[in-house]
Amino acid sequence: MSAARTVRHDAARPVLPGGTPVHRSVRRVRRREMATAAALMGPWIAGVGLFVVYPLAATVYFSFTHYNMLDRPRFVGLHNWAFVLGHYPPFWTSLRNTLWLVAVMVTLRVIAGFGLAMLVVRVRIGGRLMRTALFVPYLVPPVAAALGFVYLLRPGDGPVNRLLGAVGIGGPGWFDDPAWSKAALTLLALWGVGDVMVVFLAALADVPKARVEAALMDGATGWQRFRHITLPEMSPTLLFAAITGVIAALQYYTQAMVASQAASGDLAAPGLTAEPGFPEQSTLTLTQTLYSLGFIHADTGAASVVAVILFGLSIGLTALLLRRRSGFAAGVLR
Amino acid sequence: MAATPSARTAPRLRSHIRLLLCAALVTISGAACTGAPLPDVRPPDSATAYGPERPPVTLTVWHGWTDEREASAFQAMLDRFHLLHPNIGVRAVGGVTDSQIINGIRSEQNVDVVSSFTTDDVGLYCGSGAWVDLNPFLRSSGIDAAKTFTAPSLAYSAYHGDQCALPLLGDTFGLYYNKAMFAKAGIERPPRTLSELEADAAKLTVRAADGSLRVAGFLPDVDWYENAPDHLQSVFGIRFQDADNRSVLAGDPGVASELRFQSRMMAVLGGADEAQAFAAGPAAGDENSAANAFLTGKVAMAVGGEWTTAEIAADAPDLDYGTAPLPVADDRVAAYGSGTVTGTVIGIARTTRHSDAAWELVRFLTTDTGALTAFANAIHNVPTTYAVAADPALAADDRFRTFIAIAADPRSTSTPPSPNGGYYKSSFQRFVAAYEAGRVTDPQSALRALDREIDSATDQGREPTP
Repeated sequence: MSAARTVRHDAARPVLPGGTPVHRSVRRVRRREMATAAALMGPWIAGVGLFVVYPLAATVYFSFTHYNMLDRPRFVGLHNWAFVLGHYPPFWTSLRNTLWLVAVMVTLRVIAGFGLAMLVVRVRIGGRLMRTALFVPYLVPPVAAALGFVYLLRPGDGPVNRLLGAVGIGGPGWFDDPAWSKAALTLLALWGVGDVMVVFLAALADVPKARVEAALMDGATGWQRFRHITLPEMSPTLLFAAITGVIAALQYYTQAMVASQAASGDLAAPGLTAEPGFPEQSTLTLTQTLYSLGFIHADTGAASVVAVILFGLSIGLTALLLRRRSGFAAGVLR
Repeated sequence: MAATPSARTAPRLRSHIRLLLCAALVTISGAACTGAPLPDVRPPDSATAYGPERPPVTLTVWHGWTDEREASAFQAMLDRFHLLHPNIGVRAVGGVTDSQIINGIRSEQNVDVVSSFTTDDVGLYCGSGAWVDLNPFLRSSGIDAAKTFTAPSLAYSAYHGDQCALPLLGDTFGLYYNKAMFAKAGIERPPRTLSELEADAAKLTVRAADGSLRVAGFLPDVDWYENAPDHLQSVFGIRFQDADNRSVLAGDPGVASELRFQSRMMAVLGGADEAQAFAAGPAAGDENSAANAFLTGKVAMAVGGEWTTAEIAADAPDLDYGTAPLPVADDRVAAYGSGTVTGTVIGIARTTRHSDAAWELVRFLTTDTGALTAFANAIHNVPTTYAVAADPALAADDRFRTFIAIAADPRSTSTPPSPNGGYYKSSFQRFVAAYEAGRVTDPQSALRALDREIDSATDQGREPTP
């Protein structure tokens, strides 16, 4: 190899003093910037890779395997999918229950949160106290709240049914009755609606006062001001509350699990794993089915199928809400 | 000619897709590497698995007991073992559930001996090798399992010939009846058939002036206390599954018998709504507490496990009660006296690095007559070895002896082990609950559908054939 190197300069390309072509220098700078960016983003990439991408890919992979967590996973193709979708009725029961909670619980929580926020901003005396009183239930740990509601709604001697009885109404079975258990869970969720109310309170503070006053001067009624000023201004917040509510409802687990175990008496059975969903799978949600398959029946393959479906459902419903959002906003702005 | 935007982005897109595929491949490869094999556990070479000449070792034992009285009694048993084997220390961890056992073994936690309150997962433990087969250990120690352990307890701790667990005292179910209420109602002895049970329940049921239930003669609600169908297997002769783990509920005359009984008993109490409201109301406190409806006199007869005798002694020592075998269906009078036996099982986790010492402990806990008798006396569980059942030191009064007799009865049975836990039991219990509430219009076709569902779940739990 020759010690001397022949350096050829392209006459058409600009050259820096010292002979280095401009494009090479730019590339070097870019490379350095890229390296800096990669170094800065490294921890984030590692975190996302380790805690998001890997578990997601592993879940998809496990959904095609027979895996009881004790033996090596074995590839079984679409077997788990066929089992969950075709031969495992609790999956469809839990899907129906979850969609019920998404439709009813989320809708009522958004309406109640919005309504309470509208009420609280109008209260002149004791407004802060009212705000605090409405928010405090949200701070109660979900387990304690669920246990409290199981006591309050006991069919025989619960305070609620006793009150109903005093006015001549036969109280329902609440957490002990498959027809009422989801309604009881919804009541529990509405009791803790303080988080949604606070978000709406913050958004209401941003409604331009000038527009409201102008509308007042033009003789707009309260409904017209709400319909044409408040609601359009609140639509991004409504969307936010709906999306976060839907995602939370899809992940609904603790309250349903605790309430069903407390109502069935399984909480008092130490050393035993209780089947979720009491009574008669009426409180069984998708996350509980996932838990039941994966951790009670040690069927990680089928549990992974439920996890993938749950993930797809979250993405799908969120996308649907985001697409409908423009139509909704346009509708109220018209 | 300048490249069009699409032409420029296409190679970039392709490289991105390639990158994504590579990332997916790497992560899936990582996922596929899960579940590395563990070292083989071999039986000891001699009858004395871990003699005093061996170096000191500390074993970790996982068990389910949390109640202070029961956990202390188990600890006393471990202390007794340590006195005999000073070179084997034992660290006990209580309140462990089956899902924790599965996860603990999967993640190769430092656990040597594992114990479960339920026999539901014996099929999984044996089938997967998570609990090691104890047959070679039994042979090396010269223990004849069939002559040592009661037949039902040996059956529920094995799966298809793999004895991966051994019984550590058992549970069985009998009828608790309030003697004072019986005397008041003019009933001389506990019922032996379901017809007698229904008649007695009607006499013992007391209503308030407004017609509501004040005392229930007997509450049949399938979700209440110990009324689960698998506990009442011997009452109706339900088989649940055949030898190949195929569900046979639709064709089982025992199932039809149970459904008829539930309907009749609900009618005695004034209907399912009233019975279930009573079961969920103030009358029925938590089963394992002083508020237990039988202890408070709100229920005259109840199905209970043998451990309830100890709870009554602690929480309601003045209660005038008796125990008897569960009444049987009228066409099964010959089976009166038998029952369903289940219990705590114990085995060696495949994660152990001290299998000899672990076997020494398991052997002691399951076969040492003195220790087991003391433990049975303390927690009021029924013996699972013939030697303990015959031990005069077993401090059993007549009420507890009822359960010992049921457990030792050769006609007593246990529920069949299954590769996917107790799914068949919980599914059937849900079905009976729906039936009780009047939500099953065509029981026969619903049972056929349930059989198919259970069979699919059982197949799903089996190892796939390569």
